[in-house]
Amino acid sequence: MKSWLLADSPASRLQANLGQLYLLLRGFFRSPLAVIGFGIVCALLLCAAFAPWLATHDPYQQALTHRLLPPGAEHWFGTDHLGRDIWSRVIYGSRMTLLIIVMVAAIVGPLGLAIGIVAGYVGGWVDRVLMRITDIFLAFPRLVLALAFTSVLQPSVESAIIAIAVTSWPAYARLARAETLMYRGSDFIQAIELQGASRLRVLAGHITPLCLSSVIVRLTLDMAGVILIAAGLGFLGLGAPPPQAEWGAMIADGRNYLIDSWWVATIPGLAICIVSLGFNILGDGMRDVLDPKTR
Amino acid sequence: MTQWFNRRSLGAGIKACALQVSMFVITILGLLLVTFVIGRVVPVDPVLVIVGDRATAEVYARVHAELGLDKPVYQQFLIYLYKVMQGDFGTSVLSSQSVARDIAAFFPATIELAVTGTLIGVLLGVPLGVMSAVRKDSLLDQVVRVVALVGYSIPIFWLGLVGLLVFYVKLDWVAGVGRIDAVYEYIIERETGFVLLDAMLHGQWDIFRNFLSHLALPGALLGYMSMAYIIRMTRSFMLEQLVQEYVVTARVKGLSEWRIVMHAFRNVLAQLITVIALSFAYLLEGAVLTETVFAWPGLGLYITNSLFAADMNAVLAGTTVIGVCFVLLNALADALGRFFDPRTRSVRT
Amino acid sequence: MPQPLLSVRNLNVTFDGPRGTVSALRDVSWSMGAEKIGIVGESGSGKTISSRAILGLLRPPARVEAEQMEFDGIDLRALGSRQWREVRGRRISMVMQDPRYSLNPVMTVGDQIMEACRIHHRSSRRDARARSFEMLEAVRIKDPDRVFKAYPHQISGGMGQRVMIAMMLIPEPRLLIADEPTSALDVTVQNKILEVIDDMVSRRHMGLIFISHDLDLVSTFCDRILIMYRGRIVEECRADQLHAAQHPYTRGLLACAPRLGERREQLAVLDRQEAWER
Repeated sequence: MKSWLLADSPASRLQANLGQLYLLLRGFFRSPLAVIGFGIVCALLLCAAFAPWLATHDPYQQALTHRLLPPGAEHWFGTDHLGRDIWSRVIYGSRMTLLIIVMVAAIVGPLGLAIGIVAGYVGGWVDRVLMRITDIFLAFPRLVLALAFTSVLQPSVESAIIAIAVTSWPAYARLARAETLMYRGSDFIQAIELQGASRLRVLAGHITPLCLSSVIVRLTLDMAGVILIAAGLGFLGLGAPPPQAEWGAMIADGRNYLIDSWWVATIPGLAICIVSLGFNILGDGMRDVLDPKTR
Repeated sequence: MTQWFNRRSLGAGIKACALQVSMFVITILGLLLVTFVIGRVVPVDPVLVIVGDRATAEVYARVHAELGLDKPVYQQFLIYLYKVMQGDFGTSVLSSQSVARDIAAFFPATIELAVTGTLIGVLLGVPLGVMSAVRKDSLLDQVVRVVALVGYSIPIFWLGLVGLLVFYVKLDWVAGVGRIDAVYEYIIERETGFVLLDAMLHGQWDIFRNFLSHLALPGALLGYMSMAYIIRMTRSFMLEQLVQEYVVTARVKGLSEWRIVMHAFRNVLAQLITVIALSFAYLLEGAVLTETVFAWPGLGLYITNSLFAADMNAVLAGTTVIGVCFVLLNALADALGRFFDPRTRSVRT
Repeated sequence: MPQPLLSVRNLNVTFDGPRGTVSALRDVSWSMGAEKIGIVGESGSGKTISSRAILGLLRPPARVEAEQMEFDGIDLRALGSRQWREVRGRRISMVMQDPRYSLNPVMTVGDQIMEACRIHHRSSRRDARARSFEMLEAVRIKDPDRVFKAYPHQISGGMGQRVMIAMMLIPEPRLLIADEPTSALDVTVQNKILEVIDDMVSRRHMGLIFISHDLDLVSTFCDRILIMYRGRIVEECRADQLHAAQHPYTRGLLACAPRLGERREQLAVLDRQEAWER
């Protein structure tokens, strides 16, 4: 099997693609750090998927007689100021985090990719206009604008997602455009054009897959930052409204009890750290494998 | 140097400059447009905020006209632009003072934090980044990379809380929240708005020390974040350069390791300056969260307090100011990067 | 036979890679005096690696082993980094292929040449400047003033190579390695650069190792030729004896090149034999 995948002259496209994938995966898993990053992201997915089974208590259940209990046998991470189990809230908070990441990525990736590829391929005034717009948005401060945006609309997950997405897409447009420009003049693209492929076909079928890998790497790395921004918004009370379990908001809750009940604020923060770290490491690992010269 | 004064290159230089400036202006206009739009989307009725909900229809109409809300939107935007150009951001609901005055009072504190953070970030980050690249895959490299990675992944507000808990509450190494102790608030003579300078100018050394004690923790944390970013970028740039042919040439010439590294570093300088300017911009942004945690009376705290008081004028004004700084820094970074790279500086003769 | 300048015996270079150990150079031996040696081979034959091995530029995962690697009485195998700094530039120098990449783009040409001078001769700025100008004139640059203040991207390829030569010869080494010095240049400029190299090397009685893939070029330029194939030296002969070469690879190379006036229906193609690798 291995020799079939690694054959120097693959017989079919499938074999070549699988062989490439195998080499990439092998290179990726060679680095222990990359494996850790991958593991963390998987853990996040599992937590979010199996939250009802992993949580020990109802995350919204208040128990005022059990306020501010330290971590122990009954409550693994202790309880917050309303007696809610922190472990369960952290587990359910992973759903919120995952939702935000996925939604932002789903908006920002395709949008940025589309704009960048069109700008790069078509060129001319279309390119200039699109790039000016991109540059303008690129120069805006992400957090502050997201703040202004969400403060104006009702604080909710949706407004946070839109706010973050609106300020994040420019980087991808730039990236996709740079890659497109690089490939546009290459011989194989010209060959396809000479064969009569329509613009759409060239863009969608050929250039997009080429740009895809750098966009995915960038997305992964960016998600780490998105988590931090979302947490920041939550901390300021601009994310999902209470009693939703959101890590940033939990830290804000715990702030007043920091001195005596440190676990209320500290533990959700650790969760944010670990997940953000996981995405960073994963993104680094992916970039090392897909683009080794920047290693 | 003599290339600059070549007639042809001067003309091309001016043209490039004009292009940059026009881009900058357009970006600022775009930013103002966005803040304007956000301001108009407010579900809170700005008139009601001023007159209260028991006002008569006449009063309402009067204030409505005063605020210019009866005019067409594009006119409102132009009026808004005109006012901003003059520094008039309206009146703060909270303090009943002009927002511009408020911002001028709060801004220096944010600058203090951002400058401290960036300074630490550069002084520590650049050498560590360079060493990390030169001794790639060594123990030093691994440790530095992990430290930078962690700094890249930590939420600053959480780190602030933990830092306060550990270094202030438990260890009592630094002062607590706030910029200077309350007792000094009324003694300090405000001239420049920057506490260090003011204290030095008036020889108030106890205030000086107290301020440093307050600055230590938030400054160090912001410095850590800045350092993490700068290390990552410096390392990446250096690695790119160290595999170039001219580095082999330098080695073949018999240069010492230090000189070879400097050869590579010179090529990194242009990009590094851009990164430093961007890092400063990020710290300005991050100040919003840091100041909330440390009760540091800067622009960030001003924005968040105004936010909770639904003082949209102040929020948008604060956002605009930070936005403008951001755009300015980006443009500056661009310009500096161009300046330091001789390939873009001079024109092929 | 005068005392050889450089003696190499059984030089082996291997690389440890993910797919096993790759042998880049196998039992490479030659010795030379103050003469012009050409090393010819196709890509991957090991010609560049030999020169890098001599200058100690190969780092792990490369492993360099040799029975003997001696230059002017110095054992090149056992040098520490400080000692290498004495050898590189001062005694052995190298000119590389493309001046667009081998010159530091953010330093002026003058600064780079002066640096080479000041490091090895410990001369003052003024001295170094004067010497640099001398060298620029010696390599036949007509406008030394402009070139001195220019950045590498502001001068042409031919000029860039001249600058490289000047920079590498200013410390007065005894051996110059020229690694495909004309491959990145236009044909019209190539000859001029070769003239410059020839001139400088002859005047200073230096040794020259000229690496190239162009057999014709090397045969007209050098005294002796080494033909490399897949990490081995397969033939060693004098330049004027080239037509009498023995090894089938060399004969194959000679036969491949079309000559004016010959009558052939088909051009010859190299038929590689496994036996040549042993």
